Formats: sequence, C-alpha cells, structure tokens
Amino acid sequence: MSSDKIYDVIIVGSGMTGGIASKILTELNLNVLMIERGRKIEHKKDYKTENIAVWDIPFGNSKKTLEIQEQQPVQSRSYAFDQTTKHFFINDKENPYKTVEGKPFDWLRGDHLGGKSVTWHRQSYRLSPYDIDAIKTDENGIEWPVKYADLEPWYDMIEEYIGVSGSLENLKQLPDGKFLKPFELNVAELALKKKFESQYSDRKLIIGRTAHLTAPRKHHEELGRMPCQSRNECQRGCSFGAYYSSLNSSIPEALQTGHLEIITDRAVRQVLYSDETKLATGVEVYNRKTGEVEHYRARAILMCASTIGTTQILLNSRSKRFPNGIGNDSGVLGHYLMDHTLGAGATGVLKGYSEFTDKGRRPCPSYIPRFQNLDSRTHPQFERGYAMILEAFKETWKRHTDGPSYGPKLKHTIESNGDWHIFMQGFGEMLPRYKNHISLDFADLDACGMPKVVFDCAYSDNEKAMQDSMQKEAAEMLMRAGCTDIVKYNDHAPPGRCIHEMGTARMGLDPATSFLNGNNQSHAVSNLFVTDGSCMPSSASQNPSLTYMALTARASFFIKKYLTEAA
Amino acid sequence: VSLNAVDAARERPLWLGNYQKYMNRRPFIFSMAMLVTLPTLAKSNQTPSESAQHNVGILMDLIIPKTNTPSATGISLHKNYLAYVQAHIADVKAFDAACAGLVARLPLAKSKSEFVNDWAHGKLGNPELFAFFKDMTTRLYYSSEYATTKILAWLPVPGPYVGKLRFNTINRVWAS
Repeated sequence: MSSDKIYDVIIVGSGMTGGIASKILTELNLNVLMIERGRKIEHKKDYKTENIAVWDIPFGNSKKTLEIQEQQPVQSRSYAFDQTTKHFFINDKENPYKTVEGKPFDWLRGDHLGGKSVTWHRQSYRLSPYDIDAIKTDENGIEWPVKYADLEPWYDMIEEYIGVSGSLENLKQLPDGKFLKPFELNVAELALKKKFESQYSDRKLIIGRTAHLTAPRKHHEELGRMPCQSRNECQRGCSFGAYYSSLNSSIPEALQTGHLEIITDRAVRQVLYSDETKLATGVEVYNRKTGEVEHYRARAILMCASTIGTTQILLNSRSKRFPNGIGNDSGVLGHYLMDHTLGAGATGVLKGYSEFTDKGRRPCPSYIPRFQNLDSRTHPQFERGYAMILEAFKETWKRHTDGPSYGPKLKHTIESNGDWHIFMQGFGEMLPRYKNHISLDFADLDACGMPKVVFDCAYSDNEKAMQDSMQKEAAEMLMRAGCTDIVKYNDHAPPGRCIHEMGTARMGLDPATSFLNGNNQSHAVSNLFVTDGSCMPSSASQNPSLTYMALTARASFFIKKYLTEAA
Repeated sequence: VSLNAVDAARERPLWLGNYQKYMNRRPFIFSMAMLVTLPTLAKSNQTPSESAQHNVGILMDLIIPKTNTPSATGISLHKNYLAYVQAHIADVKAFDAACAGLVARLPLAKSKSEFVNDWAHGKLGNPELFAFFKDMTTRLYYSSEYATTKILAWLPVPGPYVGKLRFNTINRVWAS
C-alpha cells in the first residue's frame, strides 16, 4: 500500500524525538505521516506485564533462560531487560548486525510504536556551555553550531511539557531547568551529601532529574497523566502515565489535531532523491507484514529513527548524485560514533543508619555532576569528564543470588534489617573520533532487505583513563564519607551498553566536516532533517534524551518556516 | 573481517556464566553420578521424577533451610524446580543425575555445612552447578508469594517516595 498523497513531513520513527516532532508539526497545521518500523502498541492496553505479581513473573525473573540466550542474547545485557520487559526489546536473531572482530558493540533496540521512549531511564539533564563549547579548550571534535543560549528556551519548553522533577542547584556545569518538585533524597544519601560536600568543594550530591510527574500540571492531567507511585517498574509501561513517553503524551496530542497519520510494521529502507529538484521526495518502505515495497512522498523528511537506525537508512539512500549515502558530500556520515562509558565505579557500606529505611522504589538515583576539567585542568590524565550516579539502598535478596553463602546465615542476611549499601557508577564522555563508525555490508541483507550494519567502535585511552578515575574517585569519596567494605569495579562494558549512542550524522558549521547545519538540516539536501542522537557533535557526560528533544522542538519550528517559505 | 554480533554474543554470553562449561562436561558428570545413583534408585519405589524432585529438595534445603521461617521444601519449592531447570538447561537428565550424585555423597560428609562449603568451593567437582542451584533456589524462594508477603513486605503501589522511615514501624524488609 503506497500513497499518492504528498504529506508536508514524513517522520521516520516514533520514539523520543519522533513523538515531539509529531506534536509540534501537527500543531503547526502541517500534515504529517509517521512511519514506525515496529508493531503498533497502545498506552495502557499493551502494558501486559505492568500489574503482574512478583510471584507470577516467570522463572523468578531470571534473564538466563535458554530462550533468551537464543533469541535476545544482546538485548538481555540491558539493565532494563528482564522477563517483564523482554517484549519491548528487539529479537536479536531476527535482527542481526555485525561487529569488527575484537570490537564488540551492544546495539540495544525496541521494535514498537513509541520506541525507546517506552523503556528509557528518564534521566533528564541539560548540557552546559562547558559541554557545548568544549572545543574551545581542546581539539576534540568540531564546534557546535548551536550554543547553550540557542537551546535554553527549547529546554524550558520540553521540561515543562514532559514534566521533569528536580532540584534547583545553581551549578554552572549542570544548568537548572523548569522542574517539578524533586523526589526526596533518602536518609543515607542525605548523610553522604553532607559528608561529600564538607570534604570536597567541587562536588555536589543532588537528586536525579527525572521525567516523572511528582506534581502534575494541568496539561499533564489533561492527558490523563498522574503522579508517580514509586513502583520503579517503569520499563513495563506505566498506566499512570507518570513518566513521559511519546505513547502517553506527544503522539496522542498529535493525533488529536487530525493532522497525523501513523503506519507501523514498516521499515524505511531509503530516502528518495530527485536530481531534478535536488530535494528528497519521499521514502521507500518495506512492509514487514506483507513483504511489499511501498513509497510515500513528502515535502520534507525528518529522520528520528535512532542514531544507528537513521544513519543506516541514510547510508543506504544511494543515488548518482550521492553514491555514498544521501547528503554525504563530506564523507562523515556514519563516523564519530559515541556512547557514554558505563560500568565503572565503587561500592561500599554506610553504617550508622540501619534503624532507618525508606518507603517506595524511587525511580531515579542521586547524581554527582561532573567535577573534572571545568574551569581548569584538574584531571590531567584525561580530557573532558564524567558524572556519577549514586544509589543508596537496603539490601534485598537480589544481591545474594550468587556467591558462596548459604543456609541460616544467608537467610538472616536477606531477611534482617541491615546497613545501607552504596553504589556509585560513572558516566563518561566519549570523545568523537572519525575511526569509530558504522558502515553497511551491501552484500548481506536483513529480512527487510536492508544491508546489515557493521560496527567498528572502541573506547580509547582517554575513556579508559576516565574509568580508572571513576573507580579511584568513587572509592575515595566513600572512604572519606566513612563507608566500609569499599570495592572498586569495572565491568569493561563495550560501547552501546549505555544506550546513549550518538553521532554519525553530526551537526557543524562547515559542510566539509559535518552532515547537518545548526537547524538539523542536511547541508546538501535542504528538505532532509535529522534530530535524533545521530546529530550530536559531541556526547558530553549527561544523559542525552532531553537534548535530543530540545533540538527536535527547535528544528520542528524551523521546518515549518522552511516549508512556508518554500511554498 | 567482521563477525555476526549476535552469534558472538551467544559464544561469549556475559550473563550465562559457566553453565555452558558445566554442560560440556555433562557426559562425565552423568556417568559419575549414575554410578552412585543407580543403586539408590533401584531400592526406591519412587519414579525417577519423584526421586529427582526429592534430591532437588534435599539440596534446596541446604541453601534455604528451616529457621524461624520455612525451608525451601517447606513452601514446596522443589515441586516447581523442573520448569525452571528446563528453561535454563538443555539436558535435564544430566542435571538430575548430577543432583543425585551430590545427594548420594551427602552422608559421607562430616556435616551439612562442610558439604555445602565443599560444593560451593568446587571441591565436589562442579561449582557451576552450585552457582546455578543457589541462584535458582534463592530466586524462587524470595520471589514466591509466601516469602514476598509473609517474610518480606511487598508494596505493589507504594505511592509517594519517603526517604526516611523508622524500620520498627514496618519490622520487615521490603520485598523488591
């Protein structure tokens, strides 16, 4: 089923950025077609494991079953994957990809309407001028064509729209936003905060800024969204609508305008290009249900298919004018792939507060904003920096499923009130490097007829030095705070595991070194736009989704202007 | 040169631990176990599955014995072991045989604690089986309805998060 209709905009993807774009563009009276690769799911109705009792979860919620090993060996490495969420992760067997030998990459994906906005970790931090202007103090990457002042009003808009809880801290490296009331720090975190901040002038422990409703505003309530109930089972879907997803907010609002059509189960294979008009004309789509190839046309194409998904499509969009992928005059398409480092830090035990506990399962950690290499080079062993999350919790049985303990002692440990355990983990900035890239294997097609993605990506000595520092600093902070049983750790997680993949179609001022301009518009094809993570020139250390959404909102208004002027 | 990343993940399963290694040695384990198990089975009136369930129960109770709360078999955990094992291990017969072999060696130990210590530390030949067994037993016990609601405290919908609460107002550890 193709369509002769010419839409104003085709949005490829329905997740974090596709959702925001659909809301804004339709509210600006543009006719939009959203094309989603995965199946259709609906808010509430399709959260089939949401209210399952603990004892009804198959196999005690083990991730180690033969079925998972066979069908989802990569996806099961995600922190969010378990028996209750596995249906929101892709089937690896049916969706293979390749990696260069010795360079593993975990490509973690969803396959449904709403994409990863259904399963994200919801942590929402602004980038700061330190991040965006970092190129002024070192030579890693290129200058961002967008400055913090350009982004600030769009951050405001997105935070108010999606609802972000957080505390005002007045930190230059982590700008405040338009926050709902913060979640409480627990008694152990409050104790650590006091100790850290008295020992270190450069470090703060703050509550995580998270896209959960703590005190819904009127526009949230009008969407049927309600306050967070502290279940922390968010990746199963939340019928309260307590955390933002495109399923519970932006897509329903866009549909209400009457200007949005959505088609699912369709993999966009390429963006079509006209040599005559020198514009993108539409997309070629593989219908995963019928096996037919379909075509859809539009005046502008907005790519929101996730970092790797978008770049896979663009690289596959070859023509006489663009033999290496549409818009790829610079040759940078596919290059400068980044992800945050994950899996290094320290753990410890905080004694003295065992008579206290907490109530509820708070859906966010606390956070230690980046403190290295800001106004001066405080950590000469690496460039840029990292933030850390901190979790303080009473032990549960889940920490005792391995190890040699057994018998009455094991039961006593699990069933008795104990001390607070502290977990600290760094999120480090990965520097943009040309050699970290994806390419396509045109001789090996997947079930949708798309060339398989080949990853060639690894952390460098800079990221490794950062991970060493995360362990050392976290352990030292815990020691100075009086913690015991301190253990440093490094999981040596490969790129991709953090699910913050970005770059590969970066923005920049110079068309010779970048794919997009400061309006997320292709330098070479003026009606082609990209606003997902692939547009990022550098990664900073903050969780990036808020920035993707802010860039999408900004670009959406630009698209309206562009189409109005082009008419 | 490129590898299929999914196949590579299967070859190097991070979370699978060493179960696969255990399975690769299964012919050896099986044959050793049968040497000590067959006489026991021959004397028993139990069907093999009942016998296997019995053996698993004995081993489960070493991990989760009766204290002031029930043992693993006290809440009939052993009756549900088969589905769990089938979901995790391709050759259930080899697993059952290995368990039978362990149970047969139990009377030879000076004490139960010495036996479990030896098992946990690989002195009985297959520490991977202990790791699997402990994970299974602990997981199934503390996610059971009994443990979640009678031993621990489960709140399906907690409401607003409270960061400081005196433990003696609950007196039970939260279930998660």
